[in-house]
Amino acid sequence: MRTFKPLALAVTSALAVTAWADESSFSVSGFGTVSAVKTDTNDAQFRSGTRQPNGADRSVNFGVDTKLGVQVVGKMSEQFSATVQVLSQKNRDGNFKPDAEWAFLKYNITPDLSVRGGRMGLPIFLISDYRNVGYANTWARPPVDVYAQVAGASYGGLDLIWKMSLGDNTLTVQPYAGESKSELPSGFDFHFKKLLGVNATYEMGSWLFRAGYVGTDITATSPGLTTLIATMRGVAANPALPASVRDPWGKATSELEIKKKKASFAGLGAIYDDGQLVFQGEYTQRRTDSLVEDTDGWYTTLGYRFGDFMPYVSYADVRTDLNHAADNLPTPTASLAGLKAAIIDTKAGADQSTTTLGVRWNAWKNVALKAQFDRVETEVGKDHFFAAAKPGFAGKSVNVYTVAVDFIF
Amino acid sequence: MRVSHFVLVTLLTAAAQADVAVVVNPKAAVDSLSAEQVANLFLGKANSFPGGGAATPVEQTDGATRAEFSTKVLKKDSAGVKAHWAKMQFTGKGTPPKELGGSAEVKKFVAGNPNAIGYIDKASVDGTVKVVGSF
Repeated sequence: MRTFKPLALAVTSALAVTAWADESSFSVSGFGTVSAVKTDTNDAQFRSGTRQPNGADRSVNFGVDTKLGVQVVGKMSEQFSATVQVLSQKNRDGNFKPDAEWAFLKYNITPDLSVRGGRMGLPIFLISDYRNVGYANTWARPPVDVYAQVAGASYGGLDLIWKMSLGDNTLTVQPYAGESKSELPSGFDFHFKKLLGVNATYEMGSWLFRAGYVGTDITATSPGLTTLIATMRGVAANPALPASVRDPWGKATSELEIKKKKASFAGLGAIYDDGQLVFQGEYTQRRTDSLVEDTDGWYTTLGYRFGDFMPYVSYADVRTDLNHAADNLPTPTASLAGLKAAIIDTKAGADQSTTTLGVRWNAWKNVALKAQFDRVETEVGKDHFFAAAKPGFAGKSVNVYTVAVDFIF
Repeated sequence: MRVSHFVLVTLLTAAAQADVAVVVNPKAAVDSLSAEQVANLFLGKANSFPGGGAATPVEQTDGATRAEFSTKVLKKDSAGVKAHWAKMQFTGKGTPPKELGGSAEVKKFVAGNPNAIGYIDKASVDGTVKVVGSF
């Protein structure tokens, strides 16, 4: 991190801010990753999350993990600061157009209690705050099986960060509230409203324990979803059909529609790092009362440092609790049977596991190199996080090879 | 010659294991800190002294004293400390402490700032600062 006093002066005059205290400063820092990824199949494309429209196959792909983040912090006084973080990574349109991932004001009420307002990272995972900072993480990317469960990565709102010292240990409590929008490929837009969550982090020597819960109202729209729901409503309102057919269709439509539905995400996690041995593990639950199915995801990672080298192993898994709202729909006609099959086929979960072997090398000052091998196993008849899967792909296993360079500045 | 060789080895060993003294301003209310409490302050996990009062940690630029402090107190190597601050910094939770170039500068800063906490080579300790821990 560098401090640029002259820039601070320039910005001060540019913004016509006159009341900056003597301690005011302006700093620019950043992080980035460049990776090359290939797999052993052309039947599907490996991606790091559901926001990416495409990914890696047998030909080398540079877009899976590659990103650049630049953060500017303006400190107006001991109490007051402004942070903007611009992140460029592959978005749903497949390009790297930069986005202001973070833009918030922070006010330190006391040294141990601060309030932040603006756009911030959605803190629902153990490492969701720094999931994009490859240098701060062990692997080439956070375990996809767990971190792809929720597409939203930032939210607009307020949080409080309250640190308490308990002897040698510290407890941090972070309540937050706001709303979040996320965009997936094929015009799939998610909107979380009335987002209300809390995280508790307990740090004890080499250990860190975290528990988090967030509840929200979820609404999602996409051209395909709108058509599906409208068609189902048409069945429920069709006067030519008897009530014994219309009513179950109406009930299933209400159950599956993603409109102002309750949703929650909960997680328990732990990190151990004594300087040599590194352990990290997390268990998470996604729950919604809609077409978006309930999922449970977990991973565990072990690493050991030999000087500047750290080999690591990891295992991650995600399972779906299938939605049965459409299973018993009456289908007196062939077209209704076809519609029912289409609804059941509209999966919105994932069942896969990943075994990972890798090594991190702190090659130069502020630069780490990683080589990682993943074997991802999918399940017959189930969904997964791959893109552009060909029919019959589910059930296959894929080897993924990654070389990544992570840096901070 | 054997004796002087022995003396030399002893001196070198002593130099290699020179203690790091964690120091605060003489006016600070704190008298003693455990390695964990010092680490919490230097890693941004705590922002005030255990008895209360804001703490302003000050780091040294890269060198033998910092390497020793990082290993013994922070329990991290240089890359580990950087990775830790990358987490804090890029999540808006904190920024790394200011860095000063060597024990003399740290001592001067701590002597002139009632909230400061720093670490210096134990041989540099004098009455302008108060030692709250040796590691």
